[in-house]
Amino acid sequence: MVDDTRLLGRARRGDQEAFSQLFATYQRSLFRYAAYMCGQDAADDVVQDTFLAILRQSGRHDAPVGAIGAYLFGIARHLVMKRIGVPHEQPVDDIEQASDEGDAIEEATVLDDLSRTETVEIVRMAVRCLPEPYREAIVLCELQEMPYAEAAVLMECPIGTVRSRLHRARSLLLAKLAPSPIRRTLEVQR
Amino acid sequence: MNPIDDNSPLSRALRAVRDEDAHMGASPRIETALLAEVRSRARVTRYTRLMTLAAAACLTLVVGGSIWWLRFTNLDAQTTTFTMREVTTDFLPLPYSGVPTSTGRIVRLEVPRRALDSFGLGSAGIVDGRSSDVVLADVLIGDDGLARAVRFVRSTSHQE
Repeated sequence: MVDDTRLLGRARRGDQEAFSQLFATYQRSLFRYAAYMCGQDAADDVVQDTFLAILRQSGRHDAPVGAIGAYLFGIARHLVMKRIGVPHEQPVDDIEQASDEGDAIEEATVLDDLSRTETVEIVRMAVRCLPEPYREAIVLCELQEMPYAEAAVLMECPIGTVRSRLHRARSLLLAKLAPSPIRRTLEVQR
Repeated sequence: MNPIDDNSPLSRALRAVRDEDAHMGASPRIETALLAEVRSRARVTRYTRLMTLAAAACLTLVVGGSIWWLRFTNLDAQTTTFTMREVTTDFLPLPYSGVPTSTGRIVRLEVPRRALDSFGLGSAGIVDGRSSDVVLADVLIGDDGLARAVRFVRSTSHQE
């Protein structure tokens, strides 16, 4: 963390090598998060704007408080929410009551019948179709392997809410991956 | 432990997605554009550093020059003050003033204030308005050691 903070300081003073190191460390996870949240084309812009913001904030902060990764994700999330038009602090109750359709049974999926490539493509599509709060929980905690506590800080909600969103997100995914809808989706794609 | 760590089909599928996504990243043009920004910051930093150095040099010159000038003018002022403020009477003859002498020297002494009376200057402050018991006097002494003349001095060191 300290090294990243130093790298950021050097990058802000114009050190290209320091910036490249910082960029290489964080750009992929930021891109993946943004790509799932607002699409691949917008993800490039989110990554660029996030790093621009952190470079240009030297007048306001000599060094960000906490880990650089969390700092970058905070900026990226703010940009993502602006892009998808979601208020930054969405009321938790509204989110939790958004859908009950996904309380499906774990076994009822077509995943075992598909090749790895098909599985990846179908799950990606299903994740992208999730409502924003559940998608964010799945992307951060499952696909980015972010600890719940960090995700809770980033999502500005209690850790219990992160867990419940994840649970709901998995249920919704299972519902989307139920045999008939998936086959229909595949047929439409082909 | 995150749910993805269990072995359900969904968790396995999510792990597969995570592995596949590991290679996803921003397009190279993003890093290029950002490096251009970093380079421009380097130029700004260099310019700022240069300007800071220049400003520091100017400040040093101004402060140093001012100190030098003040010291110089102060010394000059002190010297001038000393010479300007030293007021003397004419040399007044002493009893051996008639004895011829080829050379002589002036010795500055402190003499009792009442010595002024014997030259008709009185102690009322004609030479020195201060109430000190002594006054300064330059005594002209011949090469034979006899005092030929005296003058009374009012100096700044005595006054201030």
